[in-house]
Formats: sequence, C-alpha cells, structure tokens
Amino acid sequence: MKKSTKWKISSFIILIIFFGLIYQKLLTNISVDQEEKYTIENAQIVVNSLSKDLEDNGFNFSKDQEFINKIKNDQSNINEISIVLGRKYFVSTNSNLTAKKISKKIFDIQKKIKFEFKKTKNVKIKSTVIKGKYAFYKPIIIKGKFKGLVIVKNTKETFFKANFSSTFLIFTLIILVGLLILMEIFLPKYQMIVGIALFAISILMINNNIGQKLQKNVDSWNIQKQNLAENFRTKLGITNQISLPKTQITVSQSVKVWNISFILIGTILLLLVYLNVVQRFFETLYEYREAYFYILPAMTGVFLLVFFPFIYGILIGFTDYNLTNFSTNLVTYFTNISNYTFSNFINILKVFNLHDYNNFYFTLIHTIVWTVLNLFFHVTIGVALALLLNNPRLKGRTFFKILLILPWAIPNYITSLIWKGMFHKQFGAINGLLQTLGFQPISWFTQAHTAFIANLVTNVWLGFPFMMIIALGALQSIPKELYEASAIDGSTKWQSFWTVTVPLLRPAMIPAIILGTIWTFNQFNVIYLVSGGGPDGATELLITDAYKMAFEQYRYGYAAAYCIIIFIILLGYGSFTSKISKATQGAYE
Amino acid sequence: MKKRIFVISLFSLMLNMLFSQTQIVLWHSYRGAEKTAINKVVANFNAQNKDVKIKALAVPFDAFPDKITAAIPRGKGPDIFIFAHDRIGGWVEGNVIEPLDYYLDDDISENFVEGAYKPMVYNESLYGLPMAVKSIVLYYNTDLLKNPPKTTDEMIAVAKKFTDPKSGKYGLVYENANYYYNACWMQGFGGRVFDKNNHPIINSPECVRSFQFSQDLFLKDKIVPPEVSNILVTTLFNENKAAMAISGPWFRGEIAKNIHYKVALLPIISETNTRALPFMSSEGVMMSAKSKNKDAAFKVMKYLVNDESAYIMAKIGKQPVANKSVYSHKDIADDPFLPIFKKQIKYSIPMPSIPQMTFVWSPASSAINAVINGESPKKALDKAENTVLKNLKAAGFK
Repeated sequence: MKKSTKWKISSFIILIIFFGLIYQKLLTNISVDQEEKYTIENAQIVVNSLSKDLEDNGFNFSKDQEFINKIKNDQSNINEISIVLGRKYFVSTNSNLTAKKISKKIFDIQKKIKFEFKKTKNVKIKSTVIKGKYAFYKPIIIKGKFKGLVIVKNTKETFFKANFSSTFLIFTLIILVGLLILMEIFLPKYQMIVGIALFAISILMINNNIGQKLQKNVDSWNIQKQNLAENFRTKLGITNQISLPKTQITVSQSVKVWNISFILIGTILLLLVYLNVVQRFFETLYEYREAYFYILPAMTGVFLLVFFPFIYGILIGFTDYNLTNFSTNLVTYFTNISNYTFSNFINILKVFNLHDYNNFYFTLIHTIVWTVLNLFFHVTIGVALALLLNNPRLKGRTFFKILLILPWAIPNYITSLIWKGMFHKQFGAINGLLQTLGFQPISWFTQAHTAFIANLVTNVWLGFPFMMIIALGALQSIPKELYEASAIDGSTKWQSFWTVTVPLLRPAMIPAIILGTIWTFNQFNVIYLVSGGGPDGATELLITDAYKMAFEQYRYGYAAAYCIIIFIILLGYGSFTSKISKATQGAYE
Repeated sequence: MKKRIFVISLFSLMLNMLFSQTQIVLWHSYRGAEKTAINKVVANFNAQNKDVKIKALAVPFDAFPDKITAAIPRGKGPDIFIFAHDRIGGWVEGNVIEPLDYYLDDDISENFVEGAYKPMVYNESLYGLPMAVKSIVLYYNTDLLKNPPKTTDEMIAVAKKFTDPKSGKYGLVYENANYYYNACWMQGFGGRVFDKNNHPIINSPECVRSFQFSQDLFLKDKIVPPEVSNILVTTLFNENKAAMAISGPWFRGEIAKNIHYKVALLPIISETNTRALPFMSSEGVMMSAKSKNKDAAFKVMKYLVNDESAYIMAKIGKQPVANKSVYSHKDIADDPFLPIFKKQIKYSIPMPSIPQMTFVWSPASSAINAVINGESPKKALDKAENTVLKNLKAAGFK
C-alpha cells in the first residue's frame, strides 16, 4: 500500500471515531429543564390523596404533631409554601418567619425520604433525591379545610445518554476502508471527491444511529413523566383546575444541526489530508521533535494565556451570555448550537445614528479621531524633542532626557488622576492659568468637546516620551557623513531634514506608530479615569464601552461581540500597515 | 537514602493526619482600622477553636465583586466573604451564594439593629449575616458651626452665610453629581428607584422634584462647590473650608486630626417635611455556594457576628456594627459617632439588591450630572429612564 493511502485511511478512521465520540458526548448534554410548579386555584382537595405515597416513605403529616401545631398556632392564613428539595428552596407565604421554620422542619423530614421514582433501565438520572429531583406536593389541611400546599419543586436538569454501538461502528469502518481502497485502484482521479462523500455518508449513518437510540430513551422518559402526572391527577381527583405540564422533547432537530457542522469540519480536515498538509505537518513535527519538545512549555503557556481566552471570547461573542444564564453549566451552554447567533453583531451594527453618543458608529468615529489626533501629537512632539535633544551643543542633555521620560515612567493611572484634578473647574491648575490670563474658567467635563480636549491633553502628555525615545535612537544611528554630503551639495538645514533625517527616521518610526495606534485605540485608563466617558458617553472609546457592557450590565456576550469588532478593525489596520512598513524596509540598503 | 525518604514522608503523613483541621477561607475588603479589627477577630477564633481555622485574605474593594462572581462558580474562591448586600440579587441568580435558612436554629433577626437584617433577604431567603450597617450622615465642623441644621432650609441658610467661593469656602460639600449621595434627597422627597414590581421609576415626579432641589443647591443657592469629587470633599473639610459634609462612616478615617467635627442626622426636607433618606448598605458575611465545609463555614459566620466580635469591630474597627447588644455597652454608647450612625439607619432605605440595580447607576449618574449643570430635571430623568429600560430589555429582563 502506498504511504499516502495509509495516511488517508488512518485519518478517516480517526475522524469518524473522533466525531462519533464527540457526538455521543454532545447528545449526553441534551437536557430537559424540569422546572415545574404545580398550582392550585380554588381546588377542593381530598385530604389524604397523596398521603399514602408519602407515608410509605416515612413522611406523615398527621403523626407529626409538632408540625401541625405550628400551623395551627399561626394566626394568619398560610396560602402557599413552596419548597425545593435539598438546600435550594424558597418560601412564599404571608407570615414569613413561621413559614421558614415550618419549611425547615419539612426539610429535616424530607432528608429521610427515598423517592420511588429512581433509576430506570433506559433513563439515567444523575442525582440523588436529596439534591432535588422530582416535584411533588402535599396539601396542608387544618380542621378539614384546605389551607395551603407544600410544593416540592424540581429545578435540576435531567441528562440523557445514548451509547455508541460498537458493532455498527466497526461495520461502517470496514465498508468505508474497503471502498476507499477500491477507489484508489479504480478511480484515482476522483478519489478526493468520492472520499469526502463517503465520509459524509458514514457520519450521517453513525449519527442517525445514535440519534435514534437517544430518541427512544427520551420518548420513554416522556411517557413516564406523563404517567406520573396522570397518576397525580387521578389521585387528586381533579381534572381541569390543575395544569400539569407535559414535557416533550425531540432529538431530531439537534441531530440535523450537528450532522451539518460535523460534515463541514470533517470535509475541511479531509481536504488538508488529501492536499498533503497534514502529512507534512506531522512529518516536520517528528523531524524536529527535539525542538518542539523544548518549546513545549512556552507553547502551553501561550495557549493557556493567549489562545484559550481568545477562543473563549470569540465563542461568547456569538452567544447571548449574560446575567440571566450565567449560572448554567458552561459545557451545556456552549455545546448547545442554538445558543449561537449573529444577533449581537446585527444589534451593534444595524443602527447608524451619529446624534446618539451611545451609538456604535459615533463611538467608532470618536475612537478613530481620538487615535489620529493623539498619534499626530505624539509623533510631532516626540520627534521635535528628539531633534532638540540630539543637538550635541545642548548642555545637560541627560538631565532633560530623564525629565522628559518621566511622564512615561510614572504609572499612567496616577498621571491620569493628577490631570483630572488639574482640569477641575474651580480648584484646577488649568483654569487657574486661564483666569490669570483673563479668560473665563471652563467647566471641562460638562461638554463633549472640552472633555475630549482634557482626555487628549492627558494622553499626549503620556504618549510623547515613547515616540521621543524611539526617534532619538534612530537619529543617533544616522551617519554624520550624510549630513556633511548634503551640506557640500549646498542644501539648507530644512532641506537636509526632509531629504536625510525624515527618510532615515521612517523605518524606526513606523513600527512605533503602529504600536502606538493600537495602544491609543484601546487606551482604557485615560478615558476611564479622566472623563469617565462622560458627559453622557460622548467621550467613550469602543473598549470602555465594551467594559461597561460587560461589567455594569453583565452582558458578556454583547461585550465580547464588541471586542471581536475592535479586533477585526485592528487586524485590518495591522495588515494594511504591515504592507507600508515593508515598503520602507529598503531605506538603509 | 531511600529509607530515609520513606521515613520522612511517613512522618509528614502522620503529622498531616494529626493536625488535619477544616480551613475556612474568608475574603474581605477591609483596610486600616477595620482590617486590624477583623484580624483580631480571626485570631481570637483561631485561638478558641482547634478543629476549624479561619484564613483571612484582604482583597481590594474595586475588584471584589467581580472576583467573587468569576471565582466561585468555577469552584475557586473563598468559603465565606464579607460584602455589602447590594450585589446579593446578581449572586443569587448566578448561583454564587448559599441561602442560610437551613443553618439557622432560631430567629436571629432580633439580634440585629432595626433594618440590618432585611436587606440580606432576597426572594424571601436569607443570604447573609449582617456585620455592619452603613449609610451617609451629616458631618459638621464644630469650629465653624455650633449646632447642626435640623431642616434643609436651615441648612441652606447656614451654608449661605459661610459660603465664599473666592476664598474657596463652601457651606456644604457632598458628591452632588453622584447618584448614591443624591439618593438621600430623592428618597426623602418620596422617590424610589424601583416600584414593587421591580420596574424602574427613576423619573417619577418626586424624583424630578428632588433633582430640582439638588440643582438649586448648586446653581441657585450656590452653597456646593462645582465638580465635587471624593478627594475634594476630604480636602475642603480638612482645610476648614467646608462647614458641612455629607458622607459615610468611611469618611472618619480621612478627616485630619486637627479638625473638630461631629456627626448628625441628615436634615428634614422643608418642602415635604420628611427626613432625607439615604441609601443604606448592610454589610454582611455570606457563604459561597461552592464551599466544601458549609457547616464549619456557618459556625465561623455566626462567630463573626456575635457580641464579642461585634464589640471588637465597633471598638477597634470603628464600625457601625449591626449587632444590637453592642450599643448598650458603655464604650460604644459613649462614642460620639456610632449611636448617630445607628440612628440614621432608621431613616434610610436599603439599597436595592436586585440585579437590575446595576443598570441604573450609569444612566442615573449621567442624569444627575447633567441636571447639576443646568439641564431640566424632567428631561434628563426621562432620558435616563428610557436608557435603563432599553438596556434591561437588551439584557433579557422583562
């Protein structure tokens, strides 16, 4: 057998087993939200309707004299006590504390109960009774009158499992491999298309096999559930007043979705195999195994610290992950494909309104203007100062250099807070200066444009030293001979600046500007601490907006979508500028 | 060599077994005097108990709620922690904290000062044992002002006399553009943040009137300095340039030693003849839903709020403790401040603990900021109400 055929066949086998296992795992997470509440309105309940069930399990209200007395002593009417088995419960009644004590009593009794509906053959229930599984209720009868209802409420999910049929799998695999080998011999031209088609068919077959099994389990659960409800109805002798919910779920919908996504992913992977990408990857991995072994710790670190949060953020961005579903099991939530939509992106991008400070496009334009203006001042001030400092005739150059680096060396939140104080309307230094010059004091943070200026001034102060240092380094590396040569050619100082200094500064400055742009685009500290995004969100950047979505409103999904958009913008910018910087690489050549 | 290693490991194993005890991790965000006090309480507990030990960890206040929200659902984080009640709603919905009803043996509500216990209840379950109750009061400089004003008219009159913007002197300093501080007027006028159905009503006529009042204090009466920040309040008060300040118990630690001051209840609002009602936060110890030693954790919680600990928290930590019996102790009853703080709790409203509250802060603060600077209260509050409703809807609340 040829080497490439071996690769193909083994990758087919691996892929099918892999997808089969994933599929099985995913289907396990199909769950039924069992939250049910049985309500009774004007119901005339037969006193001992449910008692037998409970008495069999050692739960007896009539014998529990203390409990009855407590209810009797309570002067006010108890309308309803709802309890959830286990530690999670709540009580609602018009007399709070008494009911709480009663419910604690009930809880203590319930600890002893073993409920009859336990494990059955097909349905696996991952929980014990104490943690709360099944809803039941008990009327509270005082002197023959219906006074209330104890509701034991179930809030847990039920998980279903369907097992992988190994004989079916092996059978499919043998047929698949056989067909592949035949294909290799007789139809070598179309092997790629046929291979992928075969793969798709096997995935469909295996998935449907598991899906059917699961559907059977779910069906039997549904029937049991309905029987239980019917049982309650007949025991209570009530038909219409009590609505017992019917839980119906079907698997077929999710089977379809998973089939499509598996076939898509599988096709891409198979294409890589057919185009020899995978082979080459593993061959290099094997050839340079020592090298890869050495960088393994670093790679693990990068994966955990960079790629994992990155992928997690992207996943969240497509979901509506927020406070209301924060507590759901992460695996359950993220493997449920119906949670993924583009609605976050549509909601962010669909409204275009530049008069609304909170609109995405307003914030985007503000962010761009902010970045461009900042970079302009950073670079011009930085380069100008570098030119001054580069003058050998300047005395105390080191002193000035240290002085000018200071704004950069001090942590920027401290600087931001100092500037915020300096912009205070009455006690701030800036207004003090304006007043001595005869101007009216300005209330900096109450208008959008003055707040913007305050932010800008702060960030220019913070940003120019970096550009200055880069420019200074680049200036010192420009050979003096070039200036001499241009002087001999009769150029003025201005001319030699434009023809010698600027072109030779460019290769050093462009990477610094790209970096500076990304920093300024995401300059969280200054905005957050100086203007706080105010007034009314007018000076908000995209990143501070995203922060507020996530941590003030708990809309994690929406905020992540916001960040994805920021990422795409910066990625576009980065790839655009990398072309420009390539163009300047040749300056020294 | 091998033998030695074996012996050492066996020995350490035995040591481990001998001293195996339950460790309860406690997170708090106390600093300064309060931190000294809580450490003393923890040391006392550890000295008295052999089987359970507390390990206290101070976590910065700003990051505290987010850390709790992130760490506990992932199985990390403390067993118990101390925080104000206002985040309880979100934490209950997020399955972060444990209801305490089952651990309580009897009615403990009588052990606490009036109003301290209620904010810890959410969905009619108890989620924390209150340790301290904090609300804002009126601080006044006794060198500048002999008697505290009883009504707002009196307050404005007194403040006007003292105010002199040219030399930087003001009658009253408080963070007037901060919704939290402003709420004392809003609630005094009868306004509330939410109605009974948890629907935001921040643009009710009462709220509008109270915002008008705040605007007048600044624009018409001119007794409050512009752009008041936390630092400005402290600076002006410490330089004898402010006759009155409105702030909470935390302000005591910031006042310079040479300043003579007292605290008083917030004044009665003359317009409505009702007392100003600030937000009250009840600070309590809560239990992680993921704690592995819940019974031991509850034992620690009960210890933290008992008379002995509460006395230390009040005496050393200068905390307006929630424990009722401490106030009958001579040391605490003679304290010129703590009984006033306790009294103010009566005239206060617990800060809403429902998760919807976090959606109110930002738009409401924008509104008060605009109003202070001359915007019409009705217009600003209508806008804020709409923003809150829009954001709530987008986040999945009905």
